[in-house]
Amino acid sequence: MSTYFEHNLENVKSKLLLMGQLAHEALKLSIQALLEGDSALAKTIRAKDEEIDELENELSDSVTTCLSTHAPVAADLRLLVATMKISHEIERIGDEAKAIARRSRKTATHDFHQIPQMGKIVQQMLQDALSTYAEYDEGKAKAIWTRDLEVDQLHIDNNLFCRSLVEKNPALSSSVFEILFISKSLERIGDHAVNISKEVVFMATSRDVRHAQEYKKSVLRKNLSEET
Amino acid sequence: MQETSELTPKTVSNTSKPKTENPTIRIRDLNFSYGNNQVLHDVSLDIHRCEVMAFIGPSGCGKSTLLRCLNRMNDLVDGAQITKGTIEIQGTNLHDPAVDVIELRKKVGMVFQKSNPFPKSIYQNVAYGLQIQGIRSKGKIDERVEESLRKAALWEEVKDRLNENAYGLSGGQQQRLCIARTLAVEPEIILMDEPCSALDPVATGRVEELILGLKDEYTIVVVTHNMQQAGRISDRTAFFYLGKLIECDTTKKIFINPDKKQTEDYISGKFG
Repeated sequence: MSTYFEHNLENVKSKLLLMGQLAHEALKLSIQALLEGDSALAKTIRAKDEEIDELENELSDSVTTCLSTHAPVAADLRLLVATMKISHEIERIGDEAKAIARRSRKTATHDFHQIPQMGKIVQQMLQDALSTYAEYDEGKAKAIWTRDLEVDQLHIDNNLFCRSLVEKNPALSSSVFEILFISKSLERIGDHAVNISKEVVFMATSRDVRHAQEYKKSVLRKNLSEET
Repeated sequence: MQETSELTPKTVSNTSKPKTENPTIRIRDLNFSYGNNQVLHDVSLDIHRCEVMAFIGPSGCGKSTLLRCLNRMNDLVDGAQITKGTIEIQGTNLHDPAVDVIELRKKVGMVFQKSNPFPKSIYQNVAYGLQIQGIRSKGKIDERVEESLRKAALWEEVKDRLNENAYGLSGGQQQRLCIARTLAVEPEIILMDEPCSALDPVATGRVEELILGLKDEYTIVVVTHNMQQAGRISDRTAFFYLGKLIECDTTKKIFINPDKKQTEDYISGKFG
């Protein structure tokens, strides 16, 4: 491999990690905007999302150039293919963060139930997913999948909570719907973090575990309940 | 070599998985030397019917030598000899005294790096092998020439100028003519030693398409330095280094996730 190609691969990895960092910051700010009622943060989050989109385009261009000019194989090929897919997951996380910030301005309620806890977990999941990408760490990637079960459970709790709020006070329904959508966004971010970690497994081992039976949520949940 | 073929009717196979039936070519513990220079060390490998096997590796790794062992082309080189091990084709030891080398080379045809048509007409290039086989029937030869040129995807381009000199064809056409010449004597195995290295991308594409078409009927072994070509046309790939077979697996496995670091380093261009 030429040094030039190695440099290009490093450049692709750095761009992906920068995208991830921006998405992480946008997510953190969006939760802050919600919990602190700071609507001014929405502008910063929008700017970060635009930066993420721009980086996604640059990354796509860099990967296409690498594929067409160097015809990489084996680990290099897996890195490039996985990076393209992960960049799409990160771009979606940026969009979800933007949506949370937008919805946080529309909600009048101050009881967010499990959302602060969900926010903490998905931020950590995203951070861990990015670390696994940087370190090719398959073991760490798998740990993320079980954390996602926790996020799913919190989302279910939020659903029940919102339903009871609306039943008690129907006038709150539009505000409560915003909370529900925010909860759904966080749940989706957890899924994106899982998808990233699954691409890392492919990158590290060439195994495609996206639809593997043993990693389906129902199986993981069963295994987890047996362990506990 | 026994004249009677043990081949059963051929079937189309696009699987990239190694086949489980008895191999067409069975190489065991092969050691080969040019004089005192040992160039192959304990090579064991099976090649199955109707698969395309690619041999890859840096220059001097022994891949062309092994290819030439498969139809005893190395017999023509002074001091070249197998010092240990066996090669069997359809169960027959190639070095059995009863093997007729001429018959062997009919069964195991070869296409070389540089196209080497005879200084004869296009028709004569393909008909020559049939004529020296003793076939006299003009009708039969005509039929076989057309069939071979069609299989080599050349018929449409040359059917109106069969009597013109083969040297008037382009490099890519000449190489396909050489393939047609090989096909005319009805081989079961085709060996190709860097068949596209002198061709432009369009001609290369045509020869590669041809190889993919031919594998429905023939067992093909290709030596190539072009990693992408090996990836495009072969079912399995064998990587050689310093005369040793380092790794042999499905081409997908070799190019996505090889077991050996040496293989990965070579196909990624990190050495060699």
